[in-house]
Amino acid sequence: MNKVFNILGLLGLALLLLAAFLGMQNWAVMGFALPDQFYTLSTIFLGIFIEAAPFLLMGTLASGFVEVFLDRDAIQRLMPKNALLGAVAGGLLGFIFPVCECGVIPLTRRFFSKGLAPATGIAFLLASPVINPIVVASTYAAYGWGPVLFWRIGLSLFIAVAVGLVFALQARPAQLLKPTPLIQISGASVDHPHIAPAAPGLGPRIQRALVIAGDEFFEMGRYLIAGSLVAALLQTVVPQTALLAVGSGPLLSVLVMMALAVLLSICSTVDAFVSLAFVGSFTSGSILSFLVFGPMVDIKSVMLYLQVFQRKTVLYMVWLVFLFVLLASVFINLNIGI
Amino acid sequence: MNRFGRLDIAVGALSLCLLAALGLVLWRGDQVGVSVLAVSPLDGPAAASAPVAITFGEAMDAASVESRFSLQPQTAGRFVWRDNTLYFLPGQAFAEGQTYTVRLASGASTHLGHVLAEELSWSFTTRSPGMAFMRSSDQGAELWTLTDLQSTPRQVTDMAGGVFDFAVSVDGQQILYSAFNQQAGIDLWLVGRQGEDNRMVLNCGLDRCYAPDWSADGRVAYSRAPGPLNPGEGYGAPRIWLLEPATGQSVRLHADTQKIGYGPSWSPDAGRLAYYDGVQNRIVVVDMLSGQEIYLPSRVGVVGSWMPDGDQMLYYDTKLADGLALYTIFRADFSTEDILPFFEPQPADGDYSMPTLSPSGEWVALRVRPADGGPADQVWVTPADGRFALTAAETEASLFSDLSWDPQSRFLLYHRMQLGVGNPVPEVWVWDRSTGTTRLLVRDASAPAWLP
Repeated sequence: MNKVFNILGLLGLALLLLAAFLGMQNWAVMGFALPDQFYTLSTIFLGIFIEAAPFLLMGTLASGFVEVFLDRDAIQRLMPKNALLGAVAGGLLGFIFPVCECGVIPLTRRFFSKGLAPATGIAFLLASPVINPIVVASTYAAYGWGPVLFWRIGLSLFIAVAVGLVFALQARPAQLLKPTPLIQISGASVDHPHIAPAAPGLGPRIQRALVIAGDEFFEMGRYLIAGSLVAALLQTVVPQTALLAVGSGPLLSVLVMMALAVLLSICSTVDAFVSLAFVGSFTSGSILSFLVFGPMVDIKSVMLYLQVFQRKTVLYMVWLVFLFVLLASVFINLNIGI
Repeated sequence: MNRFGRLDIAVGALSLCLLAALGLVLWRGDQVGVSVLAVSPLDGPAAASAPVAITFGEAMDAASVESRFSLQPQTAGRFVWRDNTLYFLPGQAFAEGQTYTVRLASGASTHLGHVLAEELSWSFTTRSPGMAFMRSSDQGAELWTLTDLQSTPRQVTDMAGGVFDFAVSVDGQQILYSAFNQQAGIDLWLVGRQGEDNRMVLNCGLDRCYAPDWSADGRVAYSRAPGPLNPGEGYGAPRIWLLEPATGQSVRLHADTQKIGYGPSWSPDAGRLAYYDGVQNRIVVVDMLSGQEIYLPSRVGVVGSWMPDGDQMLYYDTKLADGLALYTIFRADFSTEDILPFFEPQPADGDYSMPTLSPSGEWVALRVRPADGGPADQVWVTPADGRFALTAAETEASLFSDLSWDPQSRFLLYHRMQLGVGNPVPEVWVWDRSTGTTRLLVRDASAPAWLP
């Protein structure tokens, strides 16, 4: 599996370089022109990658600082022992660590390595791309103080807590994670064997946090490149207009908008503005499904999930989120009509 | 050893529950239906010319709504849609003092499959029209109204004499007026028919915004002349702008800033907008749906009067006859793109100008100045079919302007300035078509317009 990601990552990197190179040349004048689809592909790919990369960097920075400044005992002490309270706390943790769906993954992995309970960690993973001050503010800016904002926050928190609680039933939490992070859980020195433990003092500790963040950024970055490339490829092959053409009815409109959210792989900080274009031509429930499902599940985040969790864990997580969002959105379309 | 752990069983069970719940929700079907955000006219007195409007919460399938719409007593009319609002424009004005009941049967649906769950029904009763006019003092002009033709005039603005002009909304509930500001620009203001809720809707700064006109679907077109670039310089050529009075949002009619014009006038169905292009000396008629433009050559500087269906316009232009430039009336048909003289046969002499069609489309009031009659005008009424069969409405030696018909096409309002007297006072008169009599409504008044 890692080989596939490595190949996709390399392809993406090659595309980045090629796009930059082509930008400096006027190939048409030289009698050589690539198909239009290639330019579409590279534009979409760059759009997704450039938008997401800073957020991944922020997430890995937060992860580095958590690794250095937050010990296992502190996590155990601060987080509720009760699974429900832990899941709710995890769902609201985004207000302390405001990270997008890319940044939350390395941070969650770090929390797991510090012994965070699965319910809390998964609730944090799913909720924090929406339940954080930046996304709340952008949704407010797009939709105002009204039902879309309230439903987005409420539904995201509810689904994150519910799915988190399901994973609390796993008798051996370590089995949810991939073997590599499990080894890392045993100690930071294994995670970063080439990094010497930090000497006492603030400066060396910050330096160590930054080194860890850098390592993690490059490690996760290739999966982000691979994810962005796949999303760009799918968007080039399956244009939005084809999806939107079939998007009517209380059920179908929800399915289409969920598919669109996966396909577009937009960061949750800006997706509210993107969704405004669909208001009026799509049902309110489907708009909400776009705003709730997209931050939890899209192509690039699923690829990043696969680096942290077992495939079965990712499958269960995505499936349950899909069902919850589908049910809630169809219910809203047929029974509430916001 | 179990093949499935607690997590697998929980995920399976939860999935079944969620799928069953989804099935139940789908089986129960639509429980809320389409939301209706607003209707008008609301209970209480309504203008006889008011469109019936229903605003939905989402985009509707027009055919499914229109087929379920009914009005008692039955009234012919046409439907116009703007965004999520349906407007029913009555072909003839509603009868005064009559109660009408609007019904929209359940089942009207959206393109997305939502349906109107319950029948929508409400009633309104029509009122007699009043009048709005301007009254000047030493300070300048203010806006006044008569809530009906028997009432006492009432001042509705207090703008230190700065009111420039105004337009009454089609439903008679609001008056949009222009007024000078501190920078010698002209802003647009909105006031209720009783003088309530007076507020600025558009701060035009140095620019001069004037000559507003309301469409049946609640939009306003106005002229906007850019303010001087440097102190002491003149104003720029005016352009036509559109305004949403509810939000104050304003955009140019044409993206091309070289298209100039003033004096906009909406067709009764809001499908076309006409304005005068003073550079090319022509009336420009814009189809608001397709953007197509039709040009009517005219050197008189004003647009014409619309037929009720918006497919024809009566306008006037100068015509040379025996070395004299006389005003002649033309009929432009936008569907056939024909322009023909209005009268059949053509009158031999005299000025025939300012044609004003009645809302029923049956009558035309016009200003007539006999070729040998000196500077005085007369007001005449003729059938709209073009037969040269004039009925005198007003033959006093006066100057007449601002002719307008009431919604029932019975009363004709006009401004009169008597000639041959010292210090003439502007007056507003009304002519009753059914009795052929005239009556002075208000002295010291100008720019009369019906307040339906």
